[in-house]
Parts: sequence; structure tokens; C-alpha cells
Amino acid sequence: MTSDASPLPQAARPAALPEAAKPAALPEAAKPALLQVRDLVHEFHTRAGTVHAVSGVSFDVWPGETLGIVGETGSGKSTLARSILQAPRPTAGAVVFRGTDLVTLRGARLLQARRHLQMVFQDPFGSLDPKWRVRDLVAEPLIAYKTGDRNARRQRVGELLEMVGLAQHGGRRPRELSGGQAQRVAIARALALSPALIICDEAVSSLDVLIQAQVLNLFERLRAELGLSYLFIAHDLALVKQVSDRVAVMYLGKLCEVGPGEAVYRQPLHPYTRALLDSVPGSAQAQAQAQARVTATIRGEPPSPVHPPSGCRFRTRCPRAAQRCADEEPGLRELATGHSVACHFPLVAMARTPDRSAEKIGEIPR
Amino acid sequence: MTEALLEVQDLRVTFAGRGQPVHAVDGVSYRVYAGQTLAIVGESGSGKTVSCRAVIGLLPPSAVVTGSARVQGTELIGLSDDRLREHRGTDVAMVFQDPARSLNPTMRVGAQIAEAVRAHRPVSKAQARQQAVDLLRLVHMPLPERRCAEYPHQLSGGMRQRVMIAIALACRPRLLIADEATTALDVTTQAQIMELLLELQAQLGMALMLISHDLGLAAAYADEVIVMYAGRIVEQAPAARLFGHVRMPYTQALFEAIPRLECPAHSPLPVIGGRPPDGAMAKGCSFAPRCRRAADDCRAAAPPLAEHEPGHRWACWHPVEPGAA
Repeated sequence: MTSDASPLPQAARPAALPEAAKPAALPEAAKPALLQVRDLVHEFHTRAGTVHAVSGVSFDVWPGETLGIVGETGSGKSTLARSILQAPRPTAGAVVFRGTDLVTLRGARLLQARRHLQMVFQDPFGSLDPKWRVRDLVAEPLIAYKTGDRNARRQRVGELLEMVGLAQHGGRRPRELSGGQAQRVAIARALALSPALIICDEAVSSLDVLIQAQVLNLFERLRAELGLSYLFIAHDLALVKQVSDRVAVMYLGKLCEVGPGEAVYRQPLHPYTRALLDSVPGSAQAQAQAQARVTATIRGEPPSPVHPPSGCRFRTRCPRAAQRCADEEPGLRELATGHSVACHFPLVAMARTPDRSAEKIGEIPR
Repeated sequence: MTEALLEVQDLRVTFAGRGQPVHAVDGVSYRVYAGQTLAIVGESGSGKTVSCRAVIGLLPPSAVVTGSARVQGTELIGLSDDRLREHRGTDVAMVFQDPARSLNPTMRVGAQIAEAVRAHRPVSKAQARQQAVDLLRLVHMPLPERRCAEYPHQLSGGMRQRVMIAIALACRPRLLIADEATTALDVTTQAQIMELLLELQAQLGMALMLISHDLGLAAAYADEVIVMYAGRIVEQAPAARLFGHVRMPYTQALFEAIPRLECPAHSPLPVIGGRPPDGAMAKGCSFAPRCRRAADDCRAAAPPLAEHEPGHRWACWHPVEPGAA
């Protein structure tokens, strides 16, 4: 996978950095990656100790691609989203967006680089000022980036509201909107500056299922119409798979599996991915297990990110864990085309694949 | 058939607001049997939560409740608060969505469980404390003695929900109502809690009611599923039958809108437009304005909920063909 991978721009980091897995099927793979995250580390210092929220995460997002990130509470997925935006800055690592490492930028240059990188959050009401009208909320990013004159902005706001299906609602205030409508306003704001990449952090998780489907369809339509890329972060694997070309599974600050969505679902390689799949209610596995009244889940609680386990972080809850898992941290290795796993004992062992466990994507070069 | 543990007959709840009265629940009837799991499914505002709160008397005074809800022959509707309190906990207990908000943040977990025990049973403080530990063990809390001395903020969301279940079980209720009890939890934690509820149900012979917006969850864990829309039951069937035999178009829409692992990525989800009606009852079927199959007769008169096939009730003039969903 590494031979034809596009190199990192020279401004970013030493060229010796390992490349993250690249989608095999996408024709865009020849183009440079839109977003390259390398060895991202984010730690918080608290009285209880250092919280290892994100511990060496690397991946690429390609133009026109949706990369889904699945993780549960405490997996570090939201911290990851924020450190990509440099809000706040990561402890270490590189975030190369369109060829520029955001970590090295300051002030006005960071703002300019970030204008094509937007975010949609879980609670739409929390991100909308309750006193503003919808059309002013959507115009705000245009004014902040001094885009066009008043007339041009008014026209752009009209286009944006049309795009998200709120053409009639420009005069309303947030409290006059339903949850789904408010999320559409948040999406219109994110689209205002014609971004290349939108990071969605649990963007539909608080919506009723019928409204959720409408907003998911809107994301898909915008992707097709505007050629957007998404980093789609959520705890619901079925939801993530629905919109994503590739899916990355995150556990306690690290990626444990990355691959094409269909492959991750049909042939999960990591025991944690298996547990996530088995826990989705209504899935064939969960259905059979619920009816048979047998254990469908992993046991216990996730360990504290202040004291993550040695070696593999999932080993304390893993049915396959052995001594090696405590002694040696498994690196991400590619077992099938574009499908990588960080596990010493993956669920499917493929004899033809060379063991690349020495390739430790997770480590930070010092 | 054995006698129902809870029998709800023509339950109606009206909120007298400033404007028109809002009919949150509009003639709901069902039965729950010991050892059975009944799921009530619907969107926000469908009346699923209000109908359950009405049964155990947890609605504000502005709510007008009529109809009947009998637990083992005792009528609960219209009982005084004091009399109701005798039934709450021993006959019916409830677990809510947000365990963080239901627990007292300034009180140790063990003391909160012991308080629930002593509220209903004449036992000494020491006995209540011992029972708190036993209850935490019953809900598979790791290190129950140590957890008793901890505060809610020291527990994870899943552990807090186990504490809430322990409190609900303090008096061995015959019916446990879980109102979106796993909605705020991670999917693996949700599976753990659902497994726990089913295990306790079998062990204690309880009836279980799941209130949820998640049709997938209901179909996976319940024996019987009720779908509510705008305060009414629109479809009811055994969970095993509902998969593949949906007849009411609203139930079909709920099913189709759930992203499925089996579907290829980027496949569009079938959606319906509009919002549920906000309480003002129109003539005809309340779902007609959003329904793909609606015809003139749907707008003229509301279809009754009738048992069209054994064990399968639906309220629709133009039901979906079997096997279409």
C-alpha cells in the first residue's frame, strides 16, 4: 500500500512517516489526499493525571470521500474532531489540510486555511444564537470572512437556504424551528464558505429516526452536488456505514480497524468491531442472540483514559487477549486491500498477507 | 389465557393549555402479562411516555386522565397520591432515560438505594444497607460494596443506569417500565443493560414495558410491539411477526428510515415529509397528511384499531401488502 501513496507535502513533516491506508476503489486515489492526519496526540492535564484522549491516530480523507469514524463515549472521537480544527491544538502530530499543516499555522493564516474545513455538531440549538434570525445566522460566516457585498451575501444566503430546504424560514428564530430544521440551519452555515471538508460530530444523533433519515439524505445530496468530503463521526455503526466509503473504528484514543465500510461489516477483523456489530439491535447477529437469550456483548466498562492498559488498549475486555497483547502494542497492519487492523490475533488470519506488525503507525517520532 | 398483570382500557390524557386542549393520549388499550415484554414505540410527542406516566400517576396536575388502568385488579386511575404510592415500587416501578438527572448527586449510591428500600419496607438501616449491596450485585455491578460508598459522578453512564435499575427493583415490582432507559447509552452498554433487564425479568418473573423511539430495539428485545402515533395505537403485533408483516404505513416508514448494516453505502433512505400533528385532533386518520397511501376515505373518518389477523391489530383503511416491508 505504501509504494504508490502520495507523499506528504514537504512543509508538513519528515517524509519517513508511514502512510495511512488508502481507499482501493476510489479513482480519486491518484489525487493528493484532502486531509492527512499523522500521529495525532491529544492529552489533557487534570488533577487526576494526564487524560490520553487521542494517542497517535493517522488517517487520510480523499477528495469526494466520506470517512466514517465509529467510537463510543470516551473513545476520543470528539476530541479528534476538535484537534483537527485546532480548537484546541493537539499535543503532537500533523494535520495536513490541502497541503498545509494546520498545526504550524497561527492567527490569520490559520483562519484562512480553516475556512474550507467546517463542522456540524450534535446539538443544533447549542450552536445557534437564539436571538438571531435564520438568515442572519447563515450570513454570519460570510460576514466573518468578509465575503462579497451586502447584495451578494443576501443572494448567497438565499441559495444556501434553498439548498437545505429552508427557503421559507429565513425570518424565523431558532426556537421556532424543530430539531431537524435547526440542524439544517447549522448545515447551511457550514456550507456558506464552500468548504471542501465537513466534519460531522454526531450530527444526526439527537434527531428522531424519520427526521434523521431526512438529514442523512440531505448530507448525501450535498455530497453529490457539491463534491464535498465528510469526516462523519458517530457512535452508531449502522448510521456511519450508511454514509461512509471507509469506516474507522476508534477505541480509547486509538484506531483499531480501518477499511471499506462493506468489508468492515462483512468481515470485521478486530474483536471490538465484532462486539459493536453484535450490539446493533435488529442486526442479524443481535437478533439471533437476543432471541436465544445469550450474551451478545463485551463485558465490563471501558478503562480510564488516565490509565490506559499497556499494549493493546482493548485487551482488558477482549475475549481473545493473551500475554502478547499486554506486552506489545499492535500496530495497524493491512490484511486485505485497504483493510487494516491493529490486533495481534485478528478474527480472520490471511496466510498470504505478510506480517507488517513492525509497522507502527501509532508511534510518534521524536 | 392467564389474567393480565396490567390492563389499560381506553386511556385518555388531555392537557388543558391556554389554547385548545391537547389530546396527548387518545383512547389507548393494552394488556401486559407476567414474564412478557411489551414495547411501545413512537416518535417524540406520540404519547408513548405520557400514557405510561398516566398509569403510575406521574403527570402534572394540568393533565386530565380518564379511562382505566388496573394492576392485578386494582384501579390506579383516580387514586389519591398516598394510595398510589403503595403501588409504586411494589407493583409498578419505572426507569428513566437520564440516570444522571434521576440520581441525587450529593448522596452516596448505597444510601440512595437504601432510602428506596426503607421507603417501602420496615427494615433497619443496617438491613437496608445490606439490601443495597445485594441489589447492586443483582444488577451485576462490579465491586458492589465499594460502589455503595461512591457518588453518582464517579460512575459511568452504564453503571448509573444499573443503580437506577437496582433502585427500581428495591421492592421487587411486578411490572418494570423502562422509559428510553438505554437511549443515552453506547450501543455495547445498551446491549448489556437490555440483557440485564431480560435476565432479571426471567429471574424475578416480572413484566417489562420498553418505551422507545427505536423500532429496531423493540423488535429485537420485546415479545409484543405497540406503535403509537399522535396519541393512538396504530399497529400492534408480536415482535416476531412485525418483522416482514408490517401493515400500517407509519410503521413501515419507521422501519425504512433506520440505516441498515446490510444496505450498501450511500443508498438513499426512504423518507416521509411533514411533522406529527401537535395535539389538535383533525377528522380522519391522523397520519393521512404524511401518508403515501392516503385516499379520500382516510381524511373523512379515522380507521378503527381492529384485530385483522390473529394477534395483529392495525388502524388503517389501506394497509401495506404483507411482506412489503
